[in-house]
Amino acid sequence: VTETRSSRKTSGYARLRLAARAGALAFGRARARTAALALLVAHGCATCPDGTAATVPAAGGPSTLVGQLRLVPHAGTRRAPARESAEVGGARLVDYSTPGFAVVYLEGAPPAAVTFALAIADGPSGPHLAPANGALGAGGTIALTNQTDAPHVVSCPEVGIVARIPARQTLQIPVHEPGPLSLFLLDRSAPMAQLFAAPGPYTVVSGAGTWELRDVRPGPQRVRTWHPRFAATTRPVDVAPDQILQLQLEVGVERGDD
Amino acid sequence: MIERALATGAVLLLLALPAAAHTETVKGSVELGVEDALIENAGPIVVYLDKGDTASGTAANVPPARGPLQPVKFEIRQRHARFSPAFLVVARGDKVLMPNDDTIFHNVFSYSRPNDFDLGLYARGEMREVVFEHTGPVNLYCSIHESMSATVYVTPSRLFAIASADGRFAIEGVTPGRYRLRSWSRRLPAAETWVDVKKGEPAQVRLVIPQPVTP
Repeated sequence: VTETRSSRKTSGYARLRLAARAGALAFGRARARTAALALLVAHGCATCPDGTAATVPAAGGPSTLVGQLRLVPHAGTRRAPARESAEVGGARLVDYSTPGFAVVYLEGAPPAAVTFALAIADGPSGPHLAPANGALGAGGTIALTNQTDAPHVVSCPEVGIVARIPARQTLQIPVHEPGPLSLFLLDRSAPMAQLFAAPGPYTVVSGAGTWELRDVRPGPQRVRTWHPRFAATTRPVDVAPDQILQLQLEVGVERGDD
Repeated sequence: MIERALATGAVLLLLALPAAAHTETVKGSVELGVEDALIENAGPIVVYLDKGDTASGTAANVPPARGPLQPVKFEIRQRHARFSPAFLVVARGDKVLMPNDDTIFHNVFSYSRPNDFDLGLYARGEMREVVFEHTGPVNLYCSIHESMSATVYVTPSRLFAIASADGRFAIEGVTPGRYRLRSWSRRLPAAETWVDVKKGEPAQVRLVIPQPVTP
């Protein structure tokens, strides 16, 4: 797993600090943090020459964790499996250029108790659950609205629910425990949605693999990843006050927690 | 005198032999207690028996019933970039062979703890194997091919059945006693009930999902 750690000793750090100060003068503290964050991500100057990450310290407030999540193929995987896979009917390959649905979250601090809106919607191939993926904090609620004109039966094994939702009605599903959640339409054979309930602050990784966790409490934190196909990873970090800490996370068959 | 001794010996021999275990069949059905819910859309449903501890409610599983009369060979083949079968039920301690029939490399792995494993990459004609030591669902994937996924469900013993499309099942070879009947399906909440199996009385069980949530 590639990881970049904070350092206050490098020239890269000094550049960022200057940038942050300049931003603070021009736009105020909040905007300065955003400006520094943009610098980190857009210009790649967060990683210092010695391979460590740069930080932007300030006076005692919450910090931001930011980075990239990358899928890593199994060691020994050949570079052009697509041509070979065509021999067996063009089997679809795992796309390692994007993480797909993945969640980065922290342990140790309660997540915000939010309501996640999920819908049963009509589509070209019939009713389906939308969005197909998403995340919420444990302690939150899934508001599942049947937007169709017919009743549907939904199942969520992890919370022990099988329920019929009349047309245009909403079912509130409390989520008490962290972990993956699968929702199925039992009046149809295929459609499902895959959610993840995080035990702490969380973010869904973008299609490009970027992620960002804001307002992180300073102190020791455990940065965890969840991916539906690969094992979870855990990265302990020590977050300083008002820090922007960049972490490169990797997920793959051989990258899971021991 | 000799005849009497032989007769006595025969009686003693009969007494020494273990009595043939009398077994029954547990029959029943898994049903969905919700209007409009179709059990055939629930996918494979596994039902199995264990010896849950009636006092504490914790599981005390039936030892895997193995013996020379039950040679079982399990296989999940990699063919046309799919696992075949895509769903398999085995008992704890069983070995599953995983041959690669394709002309391309595959990898078989699972992160379903504590049954997680990684068989590495291997080519056509090669075979790897996995012994499943822990009960529960195990999701299998290939790290190269998106289309390859399968599920192995590991039960505590061979006292299991896969329900038919209409939810009916029959578990054979059950010695009389008190058992916990449990169900598992990827698409349904788990359910359980207790069943008393008595000699000469085939047991009938009805398992309705979802079950009331106990506080």
